[in-house]
Order: sequence, then structure tokens, then C-alpha cells
Amino acid sequence: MTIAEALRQAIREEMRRDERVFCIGEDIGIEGGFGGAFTVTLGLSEEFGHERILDTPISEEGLTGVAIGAAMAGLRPIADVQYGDFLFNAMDQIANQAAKMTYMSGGTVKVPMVMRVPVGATRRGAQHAQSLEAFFTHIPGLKVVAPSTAYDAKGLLKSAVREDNPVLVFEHKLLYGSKGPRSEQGALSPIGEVPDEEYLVPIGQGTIRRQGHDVTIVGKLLTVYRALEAAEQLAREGIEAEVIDPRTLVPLDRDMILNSVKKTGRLVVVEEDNQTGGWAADIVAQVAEEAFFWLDAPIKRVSAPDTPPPFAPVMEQFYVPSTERVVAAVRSLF
Amino acid sequence: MPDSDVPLLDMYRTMLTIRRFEERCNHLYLQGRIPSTLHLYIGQEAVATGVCAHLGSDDYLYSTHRPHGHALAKGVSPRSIMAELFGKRTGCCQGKGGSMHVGDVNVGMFPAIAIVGANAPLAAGSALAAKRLTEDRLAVCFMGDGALNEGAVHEAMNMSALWDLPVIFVCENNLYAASTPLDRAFRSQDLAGRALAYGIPAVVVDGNDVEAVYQAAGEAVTRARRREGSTFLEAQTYRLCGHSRSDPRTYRSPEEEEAWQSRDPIPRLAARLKQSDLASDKSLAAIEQDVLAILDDAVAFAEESPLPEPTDTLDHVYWSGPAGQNNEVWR
Amino acid sequence: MATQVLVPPLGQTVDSVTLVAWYRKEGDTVMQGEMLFAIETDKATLDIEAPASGVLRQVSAQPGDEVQVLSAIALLAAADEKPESRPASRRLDTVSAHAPAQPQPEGQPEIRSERIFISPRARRLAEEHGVPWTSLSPTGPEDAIIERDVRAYLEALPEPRIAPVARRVIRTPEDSGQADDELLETIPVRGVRAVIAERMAHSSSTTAHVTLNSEADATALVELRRELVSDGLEISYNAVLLYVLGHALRDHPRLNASLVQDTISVWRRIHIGLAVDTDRGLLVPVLRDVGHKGLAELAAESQELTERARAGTCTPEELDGGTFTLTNLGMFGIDSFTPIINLPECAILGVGRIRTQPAFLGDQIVPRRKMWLSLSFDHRLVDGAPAARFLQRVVQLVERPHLLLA
Repeated sequence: MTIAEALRQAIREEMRRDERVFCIGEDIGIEGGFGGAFTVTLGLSEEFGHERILDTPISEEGLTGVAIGAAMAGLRPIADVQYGDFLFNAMDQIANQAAKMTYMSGGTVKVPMVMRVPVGATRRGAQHAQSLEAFFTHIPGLKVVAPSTAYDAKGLLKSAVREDNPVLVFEHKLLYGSKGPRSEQGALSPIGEVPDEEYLVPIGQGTIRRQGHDVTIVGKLLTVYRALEAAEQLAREGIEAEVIDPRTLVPLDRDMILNSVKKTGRLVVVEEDNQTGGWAADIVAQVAEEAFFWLDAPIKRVSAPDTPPPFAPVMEQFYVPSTERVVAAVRSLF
Repeated sequence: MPDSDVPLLDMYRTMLTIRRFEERCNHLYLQGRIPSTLHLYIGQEAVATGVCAHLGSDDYLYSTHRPHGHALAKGVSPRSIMAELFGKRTGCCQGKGGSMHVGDVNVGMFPAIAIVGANAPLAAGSALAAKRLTEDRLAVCFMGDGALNEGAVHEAMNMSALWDLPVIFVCENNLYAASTPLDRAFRSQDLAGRALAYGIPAVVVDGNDVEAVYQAAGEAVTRARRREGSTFLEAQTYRLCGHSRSDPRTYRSPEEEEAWQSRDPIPRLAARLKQSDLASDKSLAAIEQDVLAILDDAVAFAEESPLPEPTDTLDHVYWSGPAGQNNEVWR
Repeated sequence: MATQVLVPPLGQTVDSVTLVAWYRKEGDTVMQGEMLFAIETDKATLDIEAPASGVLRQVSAQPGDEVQVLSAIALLAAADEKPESRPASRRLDTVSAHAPAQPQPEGQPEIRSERIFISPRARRLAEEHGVPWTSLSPTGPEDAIIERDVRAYLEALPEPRIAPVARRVIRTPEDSGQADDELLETIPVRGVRAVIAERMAHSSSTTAHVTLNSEADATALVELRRELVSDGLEISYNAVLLYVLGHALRDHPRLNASLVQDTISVWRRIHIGLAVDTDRGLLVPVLRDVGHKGLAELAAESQELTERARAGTCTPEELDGGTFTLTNLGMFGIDSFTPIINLPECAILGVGRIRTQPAFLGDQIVPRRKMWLSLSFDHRLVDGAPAARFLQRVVQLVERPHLLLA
């Protein structure tokens, strides 16, 4: 199934399993509506009704706060913002309230909330395009996941719902595989095998998408696919790349990355987000600190430039890390 | 004649506890024994007291950066609040919260929220959960007049009205948001009218008359418990102290302060009690002694309590499981 | 323009040598042609001249290091030049080499001038294996030495020419497991020793070696020599023996041959190696065309070669190309021995001491000067009888040196 279908399946299963689970967001349950901006909740309100698929007014800060307050009082909400960029509206609720509540209460209050966040540049312009995981990986108290396959999407969303801490689930718009009017140009639509039976993908566990011994490439969401394409090209030049998809950004599967770098001696981190102060920087710092003497070359980041995401397709292509840029970065290490 | 159901004596005791507690904190702060600034509730005791008198320990309460009064009225122990102010491990937040975040989930008060207006959506959310999961539990959200200009409050009120959530928004209008008077922040000073605009019934009460507060709160609580929807209470009151401890209050006139001093809710209630033969000077003095003894005990408890270990910093980032990823190296 | 100081190529079979000494140090101003450093091959120590004038920089090998032939072990730079920046004219400058004499170009600081960059991974590997990484050629990004450069070095190391047993014996004390106090000395098998070890073992194991011993009455030879010496000619016994061999081998050319693969090459000319004991071990300088040289010439040449061998200043050509070898252990009181054939030669003559022994002359017992000659030969090339006939001829010439005039 596609990622959108896998997410929907996860939500359905969790809502059936535990009646405290409910969805809250804009345009998620309206009859005849979209099922959320990217069709993920399509059809769910028919099964679960409008109290458990709760449509809200345009109030990102408010709905986030409502989700948090509901979680604090015993429900298990799956909130969503239609575009990750809107999360900035809700920053106080996420960073000051959800993330800090368990801590401030001396460990007596839990916030079992999930927030689903679509990210990625899709020709909609600067305020509907950002990949903003880095803002949230920086906040202690949150967990952050970023599934890039249907299998991981279902498994991780289920784990997130069962997690007793606030979890942000970042989803890439070009990976949903949504059909019909909500399909995206340039989408990858990875279709994957998703078992029918119950399974979870544990939070905090990465996966090696491709084995190799010459260089380690770490990516997230869409850039995992860029890394894999780059690895194909590089293999023809005799460079075997190991591609790691951490799947969870916080807590990061650091050991997997470190062990890989100790094996290969080279690291490239690929992110769709601007470079300065970004997600890749922290991974690079950790590797430089923990695996310095295994490095055979400097560490490279392939990121977007320090600009807001542009609109015109030619500029968007310039902005988003391409397979060619990943290949070039890897070559520069040899 | 006061309604015999109205727990006036209890409320007097509560208000006095709050008052003496805040005065004691101020004293301790000036002696340098409390490591942080404080936002004292002096003068507003009737609001917390009158509202909380209707709440059970299951009902949810969300407070603000000025939470001591709400906490004491809700039943958080003076000991645990005082220890928290001293930054001790025995504090209600284990030293992790401090003055602006006191609370105790065992009595239904979440850690107070120090971001103005941010507690409104949280309260709405908890009310949503209460409506789904319980018979008649409700949520109360205290806020100041200034909070009514925060977007979050408007979003929360709109959704609360939309979904008939059992939440009571209590706006303690003490005429100033920090140093900003109402007329410098509001073109329309009809605060209750804002709630009405969202479809929430709104009431304005004299926040220094605990009986009036009690009355209005009672109706709102009943509505909420019957799942009839949200209510907005504007309690007009006055802060008889500065915004925080570093506030010389030079933005208020002495005349104004004097005028409100004469409407101090505690002497008002005392007079009422004596008038109705519910109390005498002697019995009131006895209550005073009791309260002071409790406070002495609370201070002693706080002083004797152990400090947290520095590495306690690393705990409770998450509900369960290890602390932040890299925190182990800090041990 | 900076000039690289390279390790010179030294004959076809050598790909690495040992750096023995630097005659100048980093920062010194060096003149083209002056002796700059010394290296040791399997056969000799050689002084190498400076290829250019300049200031010695980037010295990347230390005495004792094994260096690859044609690798750069230093740089001769113009005094004010930072190597790798734009080329400057070669001029000598007595200003200290470390202070740049001219301003940086374009205000861009030059950071790379004297540093060698190596990746942490490569450095770890190099240090683990004792690789002198400062002399490696970098192939990594930003001209850094990276793992594959160290690995390439390790793989290119010539196979240590030591038999496994020997290698184990000479390991470091820690490896041997013996208590350190049992060891008197450890000698790494390198350079000359290594080559001797390898060649001797090789010879012993591949040749069908047979040693023929014959005692010669050298009384006449001794007398002849004495007379030459009293007439002012410095003739050593070795010189006489060389002269004798020159004659004998002319008559028995099959003993002046070499076996290479499956071909026996019988040589036209006679080049005899003379075994010399030196501080560094056994060296065998070669006297060329012995068959056409007079005794005095042979004496002078052999003396000179012997001295230079002891001093370590023979050239590789002088240590190569022999067709026969003479080895004399008489001065150590050795009567006879079993010399090892100096491959790829066919035979080697070992000479023992000259002793006065009683002998029969008719019925009389008279004192005679006796000398054992031991001829080891490779039976693959030559059979016992021809070899014996050759030895017989040598003995004959020793006993009746007047036949040398015939």
C-alpha cells in the first residue's frame, strides 16, 4: 500500500484498539471532504463518527493545545496540521507546553499526544514547503519520527500512538502516494508491503536501506530515496555506499550510524532543509565527536541553501538536494 | 442572611491562608531565602476561593504565572508549594517547576502555565477529555485581563463553544496586565463581551466579594457538570501588590490603591461573618493562629527538606524510559 | 621552483633501501652536488648528492627508515618560497628558512605550506603498523594521505627476505615472550644482513652443492710471493690466488659459468668476486677481467676494492657481475671449509691457512708450507670429475707457480 494508506490503516487499527484514541485537525472528517490535506483520514469519520474524528476551525495553536490538554486528561489524540509550516503557529503549545509538561510536573503528568506533520517542497511556495524537523529535534521532551516507507509509516504511527510522550510524526508530501485530486507532481509514491497482522516499528530504531563499505549516507524522508539513487550511480563507479534511514530522529539510533561510519570511514548527511543550524549538523557533530579517528575524509552535508523554499520549479529543483548533488558530495570524499 | 449551604467560614480560612502565605513568601523573598521572583495573589483571594469551593479533586484546574492562590484553594498543600519555592526536592514539582509552575495532579491542578493565554486551549482539551471519559468532571481556566488579547484564548473559547465543552474561563480582571492598564490594551473594555461573541454565556462579578464569586461560579459549574457548555466569568478585582517582586507599582496611583484597599475581600468577609454571627473576633483570631501555624510548619518543612541532586536535572524529560539521548554523559 | 629529493634507482632488483644518514638538516642551505644523505642497499652504502641547491625542507625520512626508490624524502626549496604556492625563482637566501621573506599573495593566508595532512583513520592505521606516513604520497581529498595510501604502502612492502624461523627469532622482545633480561641484543634483519640471509638460504637450498677439498703444497708460492714483496711489490696472497684462478678458469671455462633458469651461460671473461668481511657483513666486490690482468694490477685493484668495501663506498656495479668467487678464511686459522656458492655462479673457491707441515721429500721429512683448497661447485652445471680436474689444475699452479708463466 502507499504511505497514505498505511497511515490510515494505522489510525484505524489504533482507534479500534483503544477508544481513547481520537483524531483532531482541520478538514479531517468533513463528509465529502478530503480526509485531511493528503487523504490520510479519508473515510475514518464514517466508521468512528465526528467526535473521534474531530474537525476544528482554523486554529493551529488552539487545536494543538486542545490535543495536549486532552492528552493530559486521559485521551490519546492524533492531531494534525495540514502543512508543517503551520506548526510555527503552535510552537508555544509544542515547545512550552507539551515538551515541558512532564518535566515541570516532576514526572507526574504525561502527554501522550501525536502530531502528524506533512513536510517537503511541492511547488506551493515558501510557506507551504518547509522541512522543519530540525526545530523539533532540538526540543527535549519530544520524540520525533520520520517514516519514509509504508511499512515504517504504519509501524511508527502505531508506536507513536502508544507512546506516553508527545511524538511528532513527520511525513513527506511527495511520499504519500495519494491518488486523485490530491496527488502530487513529482511524487515518488513508494508502494510497499505492509503486513496485515499487527506489528510495530519501535521508536528509536533506524534501518540500513542499503549495505556498503565505502561511504555512509544518512538521509530522512525524501532524501533517503535520493541517497539510494545516488548509491546506484556510485556503484557503477565502484563506490559502494551504505544508506541509513534513521526513521526516528529523536531518539536517534546513534549506534547504527557510528558503527557504519567506523566501517566506511566516510559520511554524507542529506537533508531537505536549509543547512545552517540544521538537522544534519547535529549528526555530523556527534560523529565527529564519537568516531573521529575512524574518519578517512571530512564529513559532508548535502542540504538546501539558507533560503526559504522558492516557488518556481527550476528554483525548487535547485533548492531541494538532488541525486546529483549527493553523488558529487560522495565523490569529493575520495 | 447568608445561604447555609455557602461555606463562608471555610472560604474565610482559605482566603486567609492564601493571604498569609503570600505575605510570608514576600517576607522570605526579601530575606533572600527564596531564589526566584514571585507573582503574588494578594487582593484577589476571593476569586480563587469562590470558584474552587465548587471543585472536587478530580476537576481540572489550569492556572497562570500567579498561581499560589489557585493552588492553595484547590488543595495543594502549603508544604509542597513552599518547598517548591525554595527549590527543594520535596516541592510539588520536585524543584523542577518553581513559583510559576506549582500544581499537583493529585488534587486536579496541573502545573501552572506561565505563558499568558496558553492554558486556555489546554483547559479546553482537558474539558474535552472530561466530557468523553467522565460523568461530570470539568475544567477551570484562570487567566488575567491581558490574556484576552492572546490568540490562543480566542481559539480556545471558540472551540469550547463549538463543542459545548465543560470548561469555565475565569478572567481575573485586575485592571492591569503587568504595568499596562486596560485602556492601553483594549479599545473595547467589554471583556465579557468577547466571550459572548463566541457564543459563551458570560457573567461579570465583583471579584472581591467571595459570595458573589461563589454564586456565579456555582452556576457555571452546574452548567458544566450538566454538559450544557462553557461559561465565562469576569471577576473584577485588584492586585494589592506589584506584578512581581521587582515592581514598585509607580504606574498606579496611590488613590486607586487606597480605594481598592478598602474593598479588601478578607476584612469584608470577616465583617460579614461577624455580622451574621458566624464568627467572632475570637474565633477569627483562632483561625488566624491556625493559619500561621500551618505556614510556620510549611516554611520549616521547606527549609529542612533536601536540595535536589544536580543530576536530578536529567530526570523526567520523558514520562518513561531514559532521559534525553545524550543526557547520560552528563551524569 | 622546489626540487624534490628523490631516492635514486639503484639497479634492477632494488625497490626499497634504508636511509642511513642525513648530512644536512632541515632548514640548512644546500649546494647542488654536495653529499646530502646516505642510503644502504643490500650490497653497499651510498652517498647521494643534492640534486639542486636550496633550503632543505619537508624531510620525511629518518635514519633507519626504509624508503621506496624514487620516493621523495625531502624538498629543496628556494629560501623565500613556500612549496606549492606559485613558482618562485630558485635563489639562495641565507635568511632562516622558516621566516617567509615575501608577503602572502592576495592577502589569502597560505596554510598548507609545510604540513602534511593525513586522515585520522589513515593515521591510526599507519601508527598501528609503524608506517612512516610522512613519506607517503597523498591521494585523498585536499591532498591528504588517506587509508588507501597507507594500505598501498603496506601491500607494496617487499616481502621481508627472512626465513620464517629467523623472523620469529628476531621479533621484538615483547613478541618472543621471553623475559627481557635474556636478550643481549636484537638485530633487525634488514639491509645487507637480510640479503645475505636470503641469498645464502637460497643458494643452500637450490644448488646441488658439492665441496672438493685438496691440500696444496704452497711452499713455492709462498717463496714467490716473498720475493715479489722484497722487490717492492705489494702482493697479497689473495692477489696471487686471483692470478692463479684467472689461469685455471681459462683452461676450465665450464667452471666460469652461471645457471639462469634452464640455461647455463659459460662466460667469456673472468670476473672474480673477492669475499670481504666488513662491519656490515659479508661483501663481495668483483675484480673484472682477471684473466687479462697482471699480478700487480690485480694486487692493487684487490686492495683498493677491499678497502672500499670495508668503508662501504663500493658502487653497486662493483658488487655485481661476478662469474666466480674467491673466499679466504686463512687469516682466521681455518684449515678448510664448505663455502656456499655465490649464485648464480657455478663455483667458489675457499682457501684455508698456510701451515708449516712435515712432508716427505724422498726419504727426508722436511717442513713444507701446506694450504687446503676447498672448491664448492654446483653439480647441476658441472660434474664431479670436471670440477676435480679444475681443482687439480689450481693445486698444480699453486704448487708450481712457474707454470703461470707458460
